[in-house]
Amino acid sequence: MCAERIRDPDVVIVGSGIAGALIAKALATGGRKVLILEAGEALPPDINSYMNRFLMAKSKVPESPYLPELFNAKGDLTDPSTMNVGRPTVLSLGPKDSKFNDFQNPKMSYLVQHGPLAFGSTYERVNGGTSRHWLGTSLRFVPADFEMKSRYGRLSTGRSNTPIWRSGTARPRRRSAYPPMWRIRNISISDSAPIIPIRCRGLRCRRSTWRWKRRCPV
Amino acid sequence: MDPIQIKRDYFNAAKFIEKPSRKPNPIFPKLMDIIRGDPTNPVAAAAKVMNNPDTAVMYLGRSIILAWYLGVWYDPDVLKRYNTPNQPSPVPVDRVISAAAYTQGWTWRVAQAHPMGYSELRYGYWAQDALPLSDYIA
Repeated sequence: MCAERIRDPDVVIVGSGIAGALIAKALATGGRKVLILEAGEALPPDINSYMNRFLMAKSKVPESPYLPELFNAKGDLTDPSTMNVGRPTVLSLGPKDSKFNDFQNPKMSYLVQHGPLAFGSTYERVNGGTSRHWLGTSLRFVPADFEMKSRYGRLSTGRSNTPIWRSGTARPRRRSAYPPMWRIRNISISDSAPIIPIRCRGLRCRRSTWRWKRRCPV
Repeated sequence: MDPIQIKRDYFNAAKFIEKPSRKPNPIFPKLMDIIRGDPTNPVAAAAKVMNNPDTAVMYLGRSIILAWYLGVWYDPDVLKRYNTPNQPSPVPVDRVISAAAYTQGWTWRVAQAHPMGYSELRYGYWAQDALPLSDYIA
């Protein structure tokens, strides 16, 4: 539909979630023609279909309002990889203990996980991506994340090796002291949620997630 | 007064057996006969249902109470099966009766709360004191 209106995009972004939207905004602000492709359901005209699906769900979990429906009429879980825009459900991401929970079985959990501990969070494949639900998981970098090598002797990408802030020194007060990606994410998401303080002491981080939930109805 | 006509959803849930194929529930007329037999005293009629020697009637009564309270349907046969010593828990829910039944569940009133995404409280409600619990469960 809209793709026909943008015949010669400078950039094509796959996925209309948080990352895609932020990149698109930055590019469009810079004058580029951006096309975003989204595999999932289009935006409905109102939230009633989302609300009805949520209210009728036997287990009310973050992905309940959205398609595709992962459980069939008999209440059995369908293999998410066999449907268009499949994705995991938190109902199958626990340790193997019941009918559905088995995070190490991709036919149940969709995610391929080899570790001993489950990554129990999900995401959405609809217009808007995972911004459709919070799930209490709102990953936010803290200074220690950019000191993985100097502080912990571990590093995966090699990109963010520069120490931004060392423990024992004064913490930078200006936001510009933090890396750009940290800043972009905070500024954009704070349109719908307040910037909340993170108190850090070494690795122990605390954040008041209830404030996020209060501002976000779904 | 029931502007939402939620009783239609409850009747539909109690009158029919959904699975494996929708058909009239033969127990429902028996239950209605008891209620109609004592129209002036619904409390006594309800007691007759809940203490009925025919356990099928009693468990249907329990399902209806749970429907009214929670907005979900528990199959009477499942309630019966789980009402034994060393029962596993929780009792599996058959289905949510309807979106309206869920939001109108009496449990929200008792909790003095409302379901997510639905509220009867209107703009400015925060300027008034909350209603006492007795207003909900008297």
